[in-house]
Amino acid sequence: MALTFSLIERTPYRLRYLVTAGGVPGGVPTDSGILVNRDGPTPDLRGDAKVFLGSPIWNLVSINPITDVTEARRFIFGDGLSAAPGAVQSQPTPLNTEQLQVPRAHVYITAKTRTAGDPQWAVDAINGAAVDAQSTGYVVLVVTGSPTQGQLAYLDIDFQHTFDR
Amino acid sequence: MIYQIVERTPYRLRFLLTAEGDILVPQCVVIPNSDTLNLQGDLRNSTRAYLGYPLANLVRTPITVGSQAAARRIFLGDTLVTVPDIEVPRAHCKLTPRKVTTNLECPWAVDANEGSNVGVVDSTGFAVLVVCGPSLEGEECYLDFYYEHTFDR
Repeated sequence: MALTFSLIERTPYRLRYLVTAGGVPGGVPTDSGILVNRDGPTPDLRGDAKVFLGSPIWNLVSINPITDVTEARRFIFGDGLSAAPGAVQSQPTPLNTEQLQVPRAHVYITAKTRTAGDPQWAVDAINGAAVDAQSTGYVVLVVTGSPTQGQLAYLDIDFQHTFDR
Repeated sequence: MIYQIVERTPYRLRFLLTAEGDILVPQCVVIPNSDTLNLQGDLRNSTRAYLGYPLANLVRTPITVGSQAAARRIFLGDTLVTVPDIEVPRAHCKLTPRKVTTNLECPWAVDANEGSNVGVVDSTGFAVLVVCGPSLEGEECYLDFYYEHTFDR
């Protein structure tokens, strides 16, 4: 069985899910699950954010089209939003102010339970077309974690809505 | 282990850590804090674009040579628990694995220390980050190093 998601907290800036391991027999090292983005019933990124229509978190998960993993990671992890490393800034204003203004989220996964032999929890972002046809054009999250039934983790999708964080 | 900056703001550095190797033995790497090494990912070098901003000021804060406690205090908020301490500038670190392929690898962990304590002479008197993790090729993890500058969090 795959990992499953249940929405436990929702604000205009955050979605928080409890991830539950369904259990995989046979001694496999990991299990995985996809948090889809179909604009459907929960658990679903757009479906869950829709109650805050027009809010930053809804706008972010509704960005379309997301065509590859690089774009998905840019908006959901802030990955790739950086000035050239090592560049020396001679002016008092920050380099690449345009990149500071790009909306993005940060995603965190926090183990709630763990048993001996369990792998670490991990989360990645990807374009929907790669893993879920109904989420084509939108970002989805892929979580990897415990194959042991009943193990739990918190998944936070946190809109990064100010430069002050 | 390789580390590279993937996101940078006046208040945050986000690194992508990538494990190297093919044996199940933990690896550790030091993210230095030096004005002379000029290395990509070096804390002072990486915040130079935002001189005067809080994170740049924080990494340039001198600490007592040999004091890991001082490094943990400013980079991890460790032991800042009394009422006056809420005004002390500090950062927090968070690790978010992005790719895991086996249950046998060493978990990711991050700590802070004073530069000379971990053999980085160019970072003597300044705090550095020490990251440990798996040595299995391809395992990946995000490290967030961000300035914790408001009481409203």
